[in-house]
Amino acid sequence: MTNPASSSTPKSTEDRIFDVIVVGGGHAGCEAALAASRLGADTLLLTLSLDTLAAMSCNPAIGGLAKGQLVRELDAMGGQMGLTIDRTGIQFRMLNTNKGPAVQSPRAQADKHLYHVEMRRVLEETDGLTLAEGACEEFIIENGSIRGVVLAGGQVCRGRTVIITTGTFLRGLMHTGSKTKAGGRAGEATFSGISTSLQRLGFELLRLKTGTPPRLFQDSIDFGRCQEQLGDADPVPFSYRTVGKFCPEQTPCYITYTNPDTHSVIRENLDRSPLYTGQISGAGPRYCPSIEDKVVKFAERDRHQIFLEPESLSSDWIYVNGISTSLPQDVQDAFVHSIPGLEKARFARYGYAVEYDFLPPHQIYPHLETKRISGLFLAGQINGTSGYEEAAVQGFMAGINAVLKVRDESPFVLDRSEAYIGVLMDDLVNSCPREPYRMFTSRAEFRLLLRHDNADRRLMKYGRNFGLISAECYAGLQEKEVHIEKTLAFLSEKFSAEGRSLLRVLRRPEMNFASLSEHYPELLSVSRYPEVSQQVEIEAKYQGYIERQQAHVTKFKQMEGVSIPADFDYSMITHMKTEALEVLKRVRPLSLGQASRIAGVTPADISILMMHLLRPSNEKKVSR
Amino acid sequence: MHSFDTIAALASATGRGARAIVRVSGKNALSVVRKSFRASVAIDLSSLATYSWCEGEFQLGLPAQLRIPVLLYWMAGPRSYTREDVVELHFDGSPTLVTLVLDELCGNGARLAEPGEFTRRAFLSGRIDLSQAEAVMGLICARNEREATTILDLLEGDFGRRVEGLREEMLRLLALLEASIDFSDQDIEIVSWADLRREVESLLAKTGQLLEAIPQATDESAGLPRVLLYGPTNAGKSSLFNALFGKDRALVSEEVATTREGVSAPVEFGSVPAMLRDSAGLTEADTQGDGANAQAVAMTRRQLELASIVLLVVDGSAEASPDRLDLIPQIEPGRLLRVINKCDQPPGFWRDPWIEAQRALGGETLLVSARTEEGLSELSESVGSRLASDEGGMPPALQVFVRHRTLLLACQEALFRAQERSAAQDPAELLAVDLTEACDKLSEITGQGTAEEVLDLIFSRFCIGK
Repeated sequence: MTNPASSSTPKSTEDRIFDVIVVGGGHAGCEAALAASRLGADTLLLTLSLDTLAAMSCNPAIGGLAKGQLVRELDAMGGQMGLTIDRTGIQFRMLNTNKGPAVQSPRAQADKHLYHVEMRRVLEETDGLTLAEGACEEFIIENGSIRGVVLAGGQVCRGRTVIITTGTFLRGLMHTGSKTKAGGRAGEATFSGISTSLQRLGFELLRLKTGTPPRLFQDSIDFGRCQEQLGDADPVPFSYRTVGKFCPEQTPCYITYTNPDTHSVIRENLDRSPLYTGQISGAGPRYCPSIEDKVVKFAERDRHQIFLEPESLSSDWIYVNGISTSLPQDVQDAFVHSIPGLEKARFARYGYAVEYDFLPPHQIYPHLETKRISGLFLAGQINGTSGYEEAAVQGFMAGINAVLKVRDESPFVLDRSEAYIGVLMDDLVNSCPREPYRMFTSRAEFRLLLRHDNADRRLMKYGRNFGLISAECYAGLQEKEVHIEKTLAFLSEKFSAEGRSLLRVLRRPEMNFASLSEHYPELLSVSRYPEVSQQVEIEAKYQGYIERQQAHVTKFKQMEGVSIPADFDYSMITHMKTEALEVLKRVRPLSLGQASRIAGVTPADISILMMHLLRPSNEKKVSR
Repeated sequence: MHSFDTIAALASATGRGARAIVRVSGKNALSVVRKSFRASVAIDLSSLATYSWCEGEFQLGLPAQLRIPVLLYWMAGPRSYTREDVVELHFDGSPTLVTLVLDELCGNGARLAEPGEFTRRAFLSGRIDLSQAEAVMGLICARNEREATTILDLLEGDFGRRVEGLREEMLRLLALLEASIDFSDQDIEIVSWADLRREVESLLAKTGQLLEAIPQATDESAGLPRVLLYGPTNAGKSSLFNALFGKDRALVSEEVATTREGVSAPVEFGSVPAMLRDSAGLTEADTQGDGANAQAVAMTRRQLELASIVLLVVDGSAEASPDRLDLIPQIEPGRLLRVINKCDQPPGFWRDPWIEAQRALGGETLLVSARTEEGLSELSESVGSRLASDEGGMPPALQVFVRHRTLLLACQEALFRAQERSAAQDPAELLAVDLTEACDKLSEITGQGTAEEVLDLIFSRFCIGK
């Protein structure tokens, strides 16, 4: 173990009882610790090393399609990620600008070093948050409730709730060729005690796999042979709370391609890839396959795209996005050198695959507390997800829910109709991920409503309720709402020369708010507030579709409103298919709506379940 | 407080002579009915007091401009079973009329209720009467099971395969669209507007063809409960068919096995209308499986599954006992009626002991003669009373087909919107909403989910991952 942290050591915490102990300092851990301490809870964050807080283990970027929505939602409720990336991003782009607003997403290249420094500063400056280094090995349980953790070396940290956010560090095993090394990230250790302890407590653990590409030295790359990719001319910040003129540094990335030579090198050496020798058993993500997989599964393609992304302005490492691999080092040398621009590239770090334990997430409630141990929460990759954003939102929700648990208040859960966060949690608890779970816009059936541009209008009220959003910031939102409402009323009451309401005129493809205000000077005052005119324009363009989605939401809410008791006795159901019954027993859905989304449960099963819920013996238990 | 759509379904049991009750529930219940209702005295329906009724005519549009005398009962929400506005139409209980009335109501904006949906609404609105709930739920349970079986049967056929094929085509198009949305930052081929338009138009054409396929099915077989004549070859099934139908429709011949395709005709049993169907007789060779008649045998097996009542016809005068029928699929006693034909002729030596043995097994055995018409009226009464006591209300097959048509129409509507979107080159996510909706409607027919399947298709087709 490294030296004790500057701010505090576990030693001084021996006789103290924390409200919340967060184990792990990645993106989930940081948000969890910040949310909990900002809610006034006495919080301890335990990490293997304070030097890797909020580290970006894989690509140096935040946001992207659907992930950008997650960051905006987190920000609207008072999370940290958006603010930090706004201060440390080195290239900002809005994706999908050729499509409608609902499927556009912000993305930023991060200066990963600065991101860590900035996040650590925020953590250190937060009142009520203690940072400490230490490896959690075991849990203290009394009467089915968590009471604290035991560190390697025997020290005890006592806490009312514990949030585990250990990422890929649970029995992490890194593969490069036939070489394997224990560890959750290059150059770092792993937790094995936690896995064993969790298994002893009766939790089910499975394995997943993910991979990372090589890093190359900047000065060894010939960027002249690559295509340049620039940031947006008019960058948009992630955070609703980043105010003033936003003009971050816009550093270019570069694009190059693999070629048939690259592919034949890889093909000839497949027998040395741990993915193909059977050395790796965990399932990897299909949306982020290794270059080995790409070459094998898409044999007809003669090239694959590669992005060269700077990791930090203060480092000369380039992240080679697109060639995640676990091939041996000599093969990585050979195939990388076959790529235009990379002929003479020197490796700063070779690519590797990492296998790790995760807990199939039917073992947690949608508010992230484990079903087995009261007060024990899980967030991030330990629940089978992938991505900094997916981890961060879980950490945030777990942080809030741990505090609510301490306060003995009911949990905070978002549903599928109000946030991507709701979609994420609902998907997780309803089906065990077969691969690391990543958010896509197509997972959100109400995606026209869940836009990155209206995350504040959807969710800021919650942040305000918890005190994570300032009164001033919230007043700004309320003012915006008033303007939107007024403008919409004006547009639907005012008619054009052809007798159409202005709202309908605005719906025409060639129209936008600015062109409309040229004809109607009354609108000029509004068009000065782009955040208002943008919302009005979207509502006009999507009208009809938004209404239809809202009708679906109403239907959805009715099914969600019928709750199933947590101790519902499934053994009295006699007429259901065994398969459906088994999966219901495993997941134990909390509402009829949730039950209907579980894979393997049909509408007929739902009818039967409903009838049993209605039996007089259950009458008292059914609430709605 | 609810924004449920308006639903309609038959709420009574089948059988002529009895009243049919069609129930409509939802906030548009009254307006949906009013479009086709003419009161006999001038009265404003909206001024009708709750729990009162009025007399009038239900007017059906094309093809026949039928006018059905009905009683209209009005129960304003929340003081109704579902806590919504409820209208009931009481009229002469012919299944054909029921179909026509339900079709008309669906055309007016109602939707055919799912099994148990009235009860589900009653439950969701907190209205359910628990003292009655057990009884209602028992009924729903039975209906579900039967309906599920029927749906499965239908899906094994050509119609189901075509729906599934169409759905898969839609999913593939949806996968292309979703890939262009979720993975636009990657170098994957993106589908062109021209292609999208062509694809949507082809989907529309196929949906239209499926819609055309449905009415035939309804007219031919689904509108009425089925009674199947079944048994070994030359037991006199076709003669019995003609005797019951009253016309020489089925081919009759002294040669074995003249009926190779099912012949059917509407026949009234007692006063209950049903579709009587003749089937190819089974020989021992047939039941072995792979003979030249395999197709006819397969068809007979399907008919067996779909029939409400199976008349097992055997030749009482034959030398050989019908025990070889052990080779045929088991039919549950509730649907089985044994008919010993040719009772005007001297019995085979096995006949009377066989009847004794069957009696011990339970169930009824009737002696008839198709030639002399002896025992035919008893047979007719027996079948009729069984059909009338059938708790199922509307025959499940009928419900299924009306449901299929409603779903296909909704699918078609969504595709029309998709067509407009692709023509206008609107943003892809809007086209995706319409296509998903179209797909979901077909999924309701086939009973499958969508979201995860689209992702599976994307990953199998595109090289995703930077």
